[in-house]
Amino acid sequence: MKLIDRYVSEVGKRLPAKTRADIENELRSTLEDMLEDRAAQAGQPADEALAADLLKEYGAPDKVAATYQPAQYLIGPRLYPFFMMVLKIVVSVLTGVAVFGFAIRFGSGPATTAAFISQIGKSLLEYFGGLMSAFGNIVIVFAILQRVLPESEFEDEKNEWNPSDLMKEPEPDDIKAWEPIFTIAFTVAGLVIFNFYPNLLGFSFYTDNIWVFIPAFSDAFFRMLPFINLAWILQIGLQLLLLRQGRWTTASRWFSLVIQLLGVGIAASLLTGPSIIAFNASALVNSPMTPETVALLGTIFEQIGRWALIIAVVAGGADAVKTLVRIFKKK
Amino acid sequence: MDNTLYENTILELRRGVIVLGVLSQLDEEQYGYSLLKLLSDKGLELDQGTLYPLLRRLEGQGLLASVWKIEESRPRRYYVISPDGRELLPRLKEEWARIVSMMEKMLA
Repeated sequence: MKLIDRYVSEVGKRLPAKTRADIENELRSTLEDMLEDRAAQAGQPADEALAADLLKEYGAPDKVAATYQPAQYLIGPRLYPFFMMVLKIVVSVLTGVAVFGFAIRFGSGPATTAAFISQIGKSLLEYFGGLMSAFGNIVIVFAILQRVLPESEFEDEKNEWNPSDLMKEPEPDDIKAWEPIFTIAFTVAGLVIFNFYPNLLGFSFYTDNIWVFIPAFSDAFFRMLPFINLAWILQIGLQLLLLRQGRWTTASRWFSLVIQLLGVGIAASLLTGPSIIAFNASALVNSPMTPETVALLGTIFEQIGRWALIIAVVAGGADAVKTLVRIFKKK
Repeated sequence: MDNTLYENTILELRRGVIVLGVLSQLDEEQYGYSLLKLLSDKGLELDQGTLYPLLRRLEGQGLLASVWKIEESRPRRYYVISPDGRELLPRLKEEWARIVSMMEKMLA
């Protein structure tokens, strides 16, 4: 029966290779049984016309194939709330950066309607470009998490939840699933932005009828990027490990300590070297702002960079000590 | 009232009953089409798109076992309730009796 064979093969094309042959055999056998039954009832031969009626009733191949497949998700229901949370945070940050960038541009450009329209158009284009790439990257990270996290990942939380837990002090070894997921999402965002979209990290000025782009970070910072990347990649590895284990262990704390010390080392090295901020007085010297404003802005950004590094060294050092204390308390 | 809403609600109502119906009829082995007719004779009309994936799922869960046999020059896959399925069936029947009794009280 050629029609049935073609139909079965069309259904088979839409099925996973693992189950295809089995389902095809069962479907063919069923259709032949049904056809034989109908022919006997109608008192006519089981011909192609009767087969066509039967197949029309049985349904289109894609619909029949779909009944054998479980629902498939790019980002499933268990990760979707985290995905939305990360997306909202990233969209808020990007919106804030876009508004700030636009204010600086508008403040530094010529105060004409044409310039205003041109600046708003440029800012909107950059904003939507940034939104699309952020959205794409977040989707990719969550789609990978959807595939690498085992099904049982969130079950403990669901099964063991008790209202009295609301009053309990958190166990220092317990890990809430959202913490590693957030860290992974933001670390990947950092990796992607600093390595592939460094032009997002800076501001544009309009001067002498041309736009001048000033990067926020200096070459000294970007020379250290391979080490920062290493720390970030190790961090993603640690967070994936924590997600799988659900708790801190002595091994994962040692792993964390290595990353914390690497972070402190990177921050300390940047602190003692040349400035990491390119957005300084000499870079701003060509902007249409007054020399006083330029000097003030340059100093502010220099100090922000310096203090961010000091905080990174102090907070990172404190975290490393806390980690060491937890490792030895456990022993 | 919207007819689709009615039909969807009926589908929801029947969904849980189908597993019990299928398990209860597989004391003796049946191939898919013969099971479909058996269920239809007893008043449970199912389409193939519901029954075959369900049989595979129940087999995957270990509640059914299946074997291919060649009959009338045609291979057919026969399904029968497994030892795990046999253990589960009486408990499902008890639960069903409780549901019927509860709903009778509610709807009286």
